[in-house]
Amino acid sequence: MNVLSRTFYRYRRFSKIIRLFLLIAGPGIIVMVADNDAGGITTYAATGSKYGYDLIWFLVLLGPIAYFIQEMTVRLGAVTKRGYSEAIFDAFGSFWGWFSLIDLGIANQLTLITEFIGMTAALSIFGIPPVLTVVIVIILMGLMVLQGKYWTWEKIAIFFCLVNLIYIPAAFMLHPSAADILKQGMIPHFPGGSASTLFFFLMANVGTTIAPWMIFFQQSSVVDKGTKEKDIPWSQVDTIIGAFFTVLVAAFCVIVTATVLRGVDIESAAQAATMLMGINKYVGTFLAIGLFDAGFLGAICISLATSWAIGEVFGWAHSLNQKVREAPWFYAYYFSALLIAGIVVLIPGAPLVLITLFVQVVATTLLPAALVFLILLLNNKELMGDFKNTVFQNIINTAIVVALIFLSTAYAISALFPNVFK
Amino acid sequence: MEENNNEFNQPKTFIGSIREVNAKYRTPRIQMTPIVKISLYALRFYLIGMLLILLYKFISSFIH
Repeated sequence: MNVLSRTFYRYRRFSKIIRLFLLIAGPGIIVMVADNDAGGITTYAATGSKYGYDLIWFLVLLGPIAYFIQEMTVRLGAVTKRGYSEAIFDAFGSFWGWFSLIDLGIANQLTLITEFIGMTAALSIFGIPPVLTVVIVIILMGLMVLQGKYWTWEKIAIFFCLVNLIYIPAAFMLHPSAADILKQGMIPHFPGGSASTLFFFLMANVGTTIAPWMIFFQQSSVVDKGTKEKDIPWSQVDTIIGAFFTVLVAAFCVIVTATVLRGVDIESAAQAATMLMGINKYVGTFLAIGLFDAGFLGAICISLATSWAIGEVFGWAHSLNQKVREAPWFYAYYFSALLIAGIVVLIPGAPLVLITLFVQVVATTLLPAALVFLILLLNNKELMGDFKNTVFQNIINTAIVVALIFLSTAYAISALFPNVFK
Repeated sequence: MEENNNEFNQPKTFIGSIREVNAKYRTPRIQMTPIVKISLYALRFYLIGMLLILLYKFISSFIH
């Protein structure tokens, strides 16, 4: 009887913990999985086809890096109850505030276009014309936000995060050698070949790991959700799980192309999906679905990140818990950003390659400021109280920020001048 | 907060809204310690550097 009652008590306690976690979880998982957006999937597909399993260990390292950066936004949002854009204006004044907001707006709009490029390319594989894809996406994204509840939006977004795991069964269907993956992929080493090409791929993978929109999105999301100081440990777990999933998806995406497309030069994930269709139509289909889902997840987060940021600064109502009539400017910006991105993708002869290149450069101008401000704000005792960075967090975070600034700048320069590191 | 929202939701020009934001955030609230000052100067130099690189790329592409 005693054993039974103890087991029942443990079960009740465990189920209470799980229910509490499910209530608080969301922003961390969504932002991390959305980090593997259309551009990210293309980078992983190209990495796998170029270097096989050799760089999987490097992707594993990027998980903790993403966690340490995003975890700071959780604390900042939960303690200050304001989004990152507003926090920059308040702490650093209007010059840095406007710089961040305008740069974020431009970078996000360009990134949104690249997400639409990914989504239209993915559905083109199934014979769906781009115009229909754009219409479907805008309707779907409209329905997600117009239902008027943050909670519902979040759970739908988590459903799309689960779809992102489609690369796992896709990889298993190709029967890769587990021994090869462990031997070649999990022991840190740099593969041979051109050092400049390898450096470019390493920088590209780092560039997809932390983007400015992620910082703005997660903090605004934490605020809109109403996360409190006491919920911070749960939100940290949420972010850890998200970081785990982002690495898992990235690694399995690499495994897919490394197993069957090794040595092939991949320029886009859609190209990889089309090639895989000829090898195994189910795997090709999975890759195309995954690419669409990645673009969709990226688009829902990026468009919201800007809408939230603008709403915070101008003092407009800016919550997913508000109806259109209560927050008209918030939704107006959200839909206009989607429409502009959709229209640009449909314009014949639009400079889409140039846009894809320019995204990285614009994001690089904002990333250092966004990261440095984060460290400075998290060290402000007056603002953060007991939740300010510890010495350990400062050492880790400062090292990560310096490395990220260096690598993302090098990546942007190499994107502008392809021969500079050769 | 509610009062602020109502106040901001009054019909006004876009320029008027920008002026209001500028007035509200005129003075940075963070204490200007040496580390903060150095960081902000470093960011300014970084931005100027990036702008110069972009300008060079633009001009060199235009000439070619």
